[in-house]
Parts: sequence; structure tokens; C-alpha cells
Amino acid sequence: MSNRKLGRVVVIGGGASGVLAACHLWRIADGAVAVTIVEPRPELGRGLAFGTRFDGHLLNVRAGQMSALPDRPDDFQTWLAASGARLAADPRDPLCFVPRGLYGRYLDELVAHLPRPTPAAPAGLEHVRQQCVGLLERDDGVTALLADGTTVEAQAAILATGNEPAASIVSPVAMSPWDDATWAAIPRDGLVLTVGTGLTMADSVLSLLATGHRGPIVALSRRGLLPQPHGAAPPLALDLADIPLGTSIAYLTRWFRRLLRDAAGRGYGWRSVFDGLRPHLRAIWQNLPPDSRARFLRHARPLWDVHRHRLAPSVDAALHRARGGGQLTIVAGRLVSAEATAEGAVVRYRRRGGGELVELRPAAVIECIGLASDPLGSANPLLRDLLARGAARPDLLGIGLDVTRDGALIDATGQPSTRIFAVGPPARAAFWEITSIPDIRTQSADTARKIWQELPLR
Amino acid sequence: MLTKKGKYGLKAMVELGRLPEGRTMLLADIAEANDIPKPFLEIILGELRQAGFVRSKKGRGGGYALARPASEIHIGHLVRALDGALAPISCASRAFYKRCDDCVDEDTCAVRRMMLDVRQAVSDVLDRRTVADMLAPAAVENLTATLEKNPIF
Repeated sequence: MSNRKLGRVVVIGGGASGVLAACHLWRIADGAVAVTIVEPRPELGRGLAFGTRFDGHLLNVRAGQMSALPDRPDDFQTWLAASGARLAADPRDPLCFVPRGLYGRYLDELVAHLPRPTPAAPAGLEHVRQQCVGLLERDDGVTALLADGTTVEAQAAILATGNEPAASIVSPVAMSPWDDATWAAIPRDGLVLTVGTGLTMADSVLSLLATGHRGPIVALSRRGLLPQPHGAAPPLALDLADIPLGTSIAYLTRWFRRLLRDAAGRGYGWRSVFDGLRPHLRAIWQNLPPDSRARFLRHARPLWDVHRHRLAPSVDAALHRARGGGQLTIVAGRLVSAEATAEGAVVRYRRRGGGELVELRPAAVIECIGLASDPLGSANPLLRDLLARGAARPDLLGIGLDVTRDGALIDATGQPSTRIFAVGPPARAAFWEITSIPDIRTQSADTARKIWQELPLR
Repeated sequence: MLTKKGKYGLKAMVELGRLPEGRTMLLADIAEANDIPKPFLEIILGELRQAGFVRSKKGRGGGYALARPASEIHIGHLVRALDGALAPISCASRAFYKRCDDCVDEDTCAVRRMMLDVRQAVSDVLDRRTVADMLAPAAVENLTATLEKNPIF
């Protein structure tokens, strides 16, 4: 490579997916590549998931499964033990759950030691603290347009724009669970309503309790389903050869129920079955007929999510205590109206099953409705630009960008890009489960390998 | 090994794959053209219909047709649905696992280790080929070319 020009890849977004993609690219290229991460935040690895500074917000995945590097499964725990972080759990225990903010630090340090590129030695990683607002693809490369009017020229681009909070359904009365200023602004004895009963609700309740909140908390969602806690059982050993790929969702559901029954007969609980299925979810999703995918999203998703995305046992215990003590109430019902008042809000909901109309006057409403998925509703200026110009299109189900199984962006005419790839949540439509590190790790390593093998970076 | 049920099922799928868009075929005609006992074929097509690979229409002009394009239905999909796990020996299947009666030590069983490799090789082929590939028997490509053309997972 001595007399050839060094290739550059621009990674848009410096949260978990962007850092993992950059890190894997660096490793595959064995250091012979220039990587530019475009991310306005001062630190890398601190997107929506790992940006929290509150130690009560724990990872929803065990420490032993959180390594950024598939070939070094204990990398995170090695880092953890050397980090000097004071933990409630033993950092060497692969089953422990540690604070999410700590994981953000791990990701930051993962790439912090890489060399900064200089004109004399262009290989390395640079972090440009800008918002990317546009991306143009040419025959010989890509140009990223930044908010300050500058550009980054590269041979390939990786879209790692991450998760976005869902658009508000009760604005303007709602407060954001992602904003640290929310908790201090809530009167300690006031009634708090969370709209949503999922993982974000759990985080919000912990944040509230940590600030010394004494008032009652009501958590409302259509079905009133809470995420299940993790257990300690090992996953069921399942092979792709055993799974009825390509069948309709009705058939697959019957198969899954039978599997649960059979596994129970052999002493395996539902957690073991869900965990055993996990490595194959991508193949199952990709082989599922499109109308079956839509039916799964419409009917089974809430039930799937509470079993699949589970709570750390200590978080579950805290929620139990709050419910047992009467401070936290979970309600199943449909939101009817929400209006702001001088003291907070007036919220009406109808109890599930055609029940009575209930009126609440909370001092604060926290919107815990999870993450946005429809790219057409995205607030991200880059995604809006790509969609407006037809360089990208939403997938059939409207849950992400339309991408190939390699993550290559598909344009409005159906043509896959050879230079722009999506990793992590924007690629959800092709991979389905791409919200947690073990999944994003695999996908970003695959994408990095594809870019390195197929583009003339060397 | 592919059972009779699996073989008849694949034959029926190929027959249906040849139909022009929008056309259906009667069970009796599929059975006759492929020399499959009718009652057996009825069971097989019922299972394929339940799994979402074929659809049926009752009454005049009725019959069977593929529920999805032939290029989207992998052979591995069909064999799993008709014959169960793609495993040549029951202890090499994990979900439908059964220990052999005469097993001394599974971890060191050479037969089992060999059969695990066989299972892998079988799914490597069946999960990459589709019903559409079976429609053009004259143009049998070599496996490498097929793998390059249809990378999966």
C-alpha cells in the first residue's frame, strides 16, 4: 500500500453502532485505513442508549455478552476489571449487569487509543464534531456535507444514525425521559404519569426514586405489560437446521409454542428458549414472508418485546418494591386526551376492555413510548435529505430504511448503493433485532468486512 | 435422508412452480403427473398450505398454486416443514434431539461428529437453492456459482 492513496471511510454517527463499525473496520484493515466519525457530541459511544450518567440505569444484557469484539468475548469484562469503576456487582461475574454509562466509557476508550491522522501519516481515526446534513454518492466515492458547510470526502460511508425517541403523542404536556433536567423539575410529592410501561418506564421510575420522589407514580400502556426480568438459566441449544424457516407466521408461532412445551418438559423455561433462538432471529426474520412480518409486528410485537428485552434482576426488584409499597401502579388502558394546566396536566384514559373513563391530574407526564422507527418521521437531517433526494427509501413495513442483507442502502428506484451502508437501528428492516450490542456487533463487523473486501480502499 | 413425503412434496412444488401466473392445478392432476398416491399428496399439500407455501382455491377453477414466488421458497424451508430438522441422525439435531440407545459418550462419538458436519453441508445446499432453481433442470450450475449468486445470512 506504500505508493497508493489510503482509503477513507466516513462513519455518520458516533454512538454505539458508529464506534463498533469504526473499530471493526480498523481491525479488518489492520490499521491501513482512515476513518472519520461525524458526531456532534463531545464523547464517542454516548448515543441514546449509553449517554446516561445515572448509575441506576443498567445494561439490559449481561456483562459477559457485551464485548465489542466477537473474537475476544471477555474484552468488556477485562476492561471493566481494570477500569477501577466501583460496582455493586463483581465485575468478573459474566452474569452481572453494570451501569449503561460505563459501557459508553468503554466504547469511547475502545477507539480513543487509535492514532489521529496527520498529513504525513493519514491512517487513523478522527472525530469531527459536526452534524452531517447530506451525503452524495458518486462513481468514485462519497461526499458528506456537514452543518458548518465543510465536507468530508471518502470512498464509502456508514450510516450509524442510531435510535431516535418516538415522536410525542401527548405533547406539549409531556417531559422527556432522555433529558437529565426532567427529574429535578418534578415536584417531589406530585403524581407522575408515565405513558408507556416498557424499559424506558423502568429507567424513569429509577431516576425518579433516586431524586427522592415521594409522590405516586402511575404507568399506563395499552396492555399494561411490564418487561420480564432476566433469569440465570442457560440458553437452549438450537440449530438453524431445526427451525422451520420460510414458513408463515401462524405456522412459526405454532412451532414456537410446541418448542416452549417440549423445552419445559426437558426442564428449560421460556427464557432459555428465547435466548436459544436469539442467534437465529436474523435468519428467521429474513426468511419470513413479508405479510407474515407485518402480522408479527401488528399482533405479537408487544408480547415478544417484554419477553425478549428483559430487565436486570435488581431493576425488577426495585419496581416490585415500588409496586408493593403502593407508590407505583401499572394500568392497562388507552389514552383519550391530555391537556396542559397550570399545575401540570389533565389526562383521561379508558381502562382496557371497554372499561370506564378515568381522569388523572398528574404534576408531570413522562413519555416513555420508546423509539421511533418510521424513517419518514425522522428528525435526523441526513436521513431526511437521503429520503427527499431518493437516495434512500423506507422499507415496505415502514420500520427502517430499505437495505440489502449486507446493509447497503437501496434507493428510490430499487438500486442498492455500492458505497453507502447502514448499521444498527436504521437497518432494522433487514435484521429485525438490531437494538442491542450482540446484534449490532455482528452486523457492523460484517459491514466493515464487506466494505474492506469490495471497495478499492487499498 | 429425504423421506417419501419430502420427495413427493418437492415434486408437487416443482409442478406448481411451472404454472403460469394466476393459474391453479387440481390435486388429482398433480398426483397423476408425478405418480404420487392421491391421499398421501392430500396430506402433504395440506401441510404445505398450513406452512404458507401453497394456497388452495375451492370450487370451479379451483386447485393449488404457490403462495409465494418460486424464487422466495428455499428447498430447506420445504424439507424442514415436511421432514422436520435437517439432521441425518437424531443426536445431531439439537431441537429434536434424541440420544442414541447405545450411546457411550456423545462428546467423543465420531459418528455424531461426522453427522454434524453432514447436517451443516446439507443445510448449506438446501438453504441456498429455491424452487425456482429446480425449475430449470437443464441448466445445473455448479454449487460454487450458486453460492456466489445467492449468499444468505
